[in-house]
Amino acid sequence: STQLDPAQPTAVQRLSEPSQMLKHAVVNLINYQDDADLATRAIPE
Amino acid sequence: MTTMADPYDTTGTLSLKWDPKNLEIRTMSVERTLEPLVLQVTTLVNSKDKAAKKKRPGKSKRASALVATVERATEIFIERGQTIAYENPEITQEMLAAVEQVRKAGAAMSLAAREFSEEPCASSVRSSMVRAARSLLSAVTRLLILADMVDVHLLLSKQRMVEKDLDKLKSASSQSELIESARQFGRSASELAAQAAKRQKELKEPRMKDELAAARAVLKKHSTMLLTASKVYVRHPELAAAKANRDFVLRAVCSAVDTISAVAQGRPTPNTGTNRVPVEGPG
Repeated sequence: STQLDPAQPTAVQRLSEPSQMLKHAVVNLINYQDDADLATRAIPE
Repeated sequence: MTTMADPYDTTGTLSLKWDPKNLEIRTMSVERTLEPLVLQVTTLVNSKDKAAKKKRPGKSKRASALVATVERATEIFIERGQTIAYENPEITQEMLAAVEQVRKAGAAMSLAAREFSEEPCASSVRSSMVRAARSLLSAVTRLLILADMVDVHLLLSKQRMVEKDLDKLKSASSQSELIESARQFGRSASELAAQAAKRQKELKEPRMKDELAAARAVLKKHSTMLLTASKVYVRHPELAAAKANRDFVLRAVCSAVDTISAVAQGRPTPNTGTNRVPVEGPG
């Protein structure tokens, strides 16, 4: 009876996964900015 | 859970008072979900943050694909939020309003991200995206907090059912009535314990977790004892000891239920924070 039922997650748990997805999406956008910075520096005068 | 200006009144009715300045995150799910987002926004502001740059060196991707991923992720979050909103009629309107805020903030973020993807080195465009990300974060936070309130509300509704069944059990005057009310109590207590277990797993503060664990243990251990003591009392109502014994077990169960309720609402637990049954007493 102390085990959790994985089939019935709480409301917050149900929102947790899409929030993580959103986080990863934003991380990738930031990496894109890093790429752009790198590209700017790499371009010769 | 998160605390706001006493979101539950004495009747357990859910009332929402959103005060973003007075938020305290108590559950791990909310923290786990929000922390990376907060860090993310901080990273966006501190573009020269070495740790953030070291974390994931550049990977060339098409900007439009990255923006599409943000949009899709926001969309999924909105869909999930809507589903939860419709499943909980008491909070549907508030949740739908929060979902709408996420949708608006998501649209603004999408726009800012598109502009950023076209001009990733322009600081003004970048600042716009930071503002949009902050706004999206705020909207996501609100929805998560409402979801947390839904969880607490569900737990409190189970608690009220247990209290009602306990009242019936207490007033039972025949064996058959007692057996029936005990059956109902067993069912509702089991549901409450399951919901409290989920909450226990979620809580951040160890003391609160312990309080909940102790209350669940008392609830489980004393349920059978309550039936036995009540049977004796119903059979021999003239015996003071039988009544005292039944009352003692009943008090322990009620105290456990009160503790679950208090912990769920982030209030100090009754009996000066301990749920321990007195050592001395009948039985």
